[in-house]
Amino acid sequence: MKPLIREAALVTKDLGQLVFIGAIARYFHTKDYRDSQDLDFVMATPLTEEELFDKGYRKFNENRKDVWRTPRGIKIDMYTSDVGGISVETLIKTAKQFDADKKGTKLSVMSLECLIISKHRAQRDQDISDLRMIAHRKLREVDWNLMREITGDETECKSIKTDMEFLAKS
Amino acid sequence: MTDWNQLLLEVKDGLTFAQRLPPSITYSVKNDGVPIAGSEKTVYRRLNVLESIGLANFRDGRFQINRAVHQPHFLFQKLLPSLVALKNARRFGKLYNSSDVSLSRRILDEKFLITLDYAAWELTRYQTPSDLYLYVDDIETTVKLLKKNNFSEGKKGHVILLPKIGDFSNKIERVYLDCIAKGGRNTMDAIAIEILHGDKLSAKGQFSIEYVLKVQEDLPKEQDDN
Repeated sequence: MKPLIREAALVTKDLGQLVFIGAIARYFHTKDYRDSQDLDFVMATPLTEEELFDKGYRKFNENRKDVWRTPRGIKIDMYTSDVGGISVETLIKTAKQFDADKKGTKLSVMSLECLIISKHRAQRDQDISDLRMIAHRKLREVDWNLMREITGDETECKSIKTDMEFLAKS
Repeated sequence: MTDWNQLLLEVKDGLTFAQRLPPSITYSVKNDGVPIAGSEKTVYRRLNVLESIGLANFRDGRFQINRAVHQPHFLFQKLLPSLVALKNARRFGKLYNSSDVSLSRRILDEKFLITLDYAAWELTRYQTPSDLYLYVDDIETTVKLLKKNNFSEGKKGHVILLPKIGDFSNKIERVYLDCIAKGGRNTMDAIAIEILHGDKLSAKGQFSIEYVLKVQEDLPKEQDDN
């Protein structure tokens, strides 16, 4: 098992219902493991700092910013409001389950549609690389009705489709 | 031998055109390009020049621009060899997984210079590597060797051969410039290299503060503390 996937499984065991976004979502949807070594996830019910400390999680001040790390030292980013304008409720409702290993360990991961929308809205250099990879590998699996429902915007949905179709051929 | 000054002059109008486009993933020739260039014919002339050094790709009335076009003029001349090398890259695969990387390194007997993903990983430990980019002295001989070992050329392989073009006297700087020229996720590698090895670079790129803070935050702790 990849070290970051192993860590994601341990974090799920520690913290309960989570939906992974970022590197883990990118890996499970594309099978490409190229990312920074940190975990990003949304939590249905946020834990208090005290509860996190009790579970061995630690807060550090790094570059004048509070950074949480797992008991194994991996940096985590916990989202409790929204990701790229997609609500936590939608992220949880549309999340997909993936096998982390062959022993039946499951990880909950943001849907392909939410991943595409969040990256298309962010439009950072790395998001464009990721969208190209997703377009090459997963374009046929995109549920455009779900995409329309999540964005709630026909124009945005059309723009995503146009960009993804172009990237798939490039 | 390539005259980089001449090449820079040839791409100047294309660069100016690309730099005037607002940030977007893809553009429409008619709706985005024509208002800047004046006519469709001029848009395609600009795109053809940019495409020749890997800064644009276009089809069916749409195009995409490599964001390296936004690097300052003083850096651009240094980027040209990287851009040209990447434009002439040839991709190979056998089993199309990470085992191709170790196998190709054995076959080629370490007679190459590594750049991009794996070189940046060695320097920063920031992003796990995916593709093995190799500068080789003689592309054709290397291709023959890979093919003899059942590697095929195509679009999906993880082993990429690049012609040795330009200056390699400062290897860290060359990896840094290659990362900027490649763009995408490699932009983040360039920033990580600059943060950790800035003293080895004679010229530095321009990156958005958002990217720099993100890399600073996500760099492995032990590296960041150095």
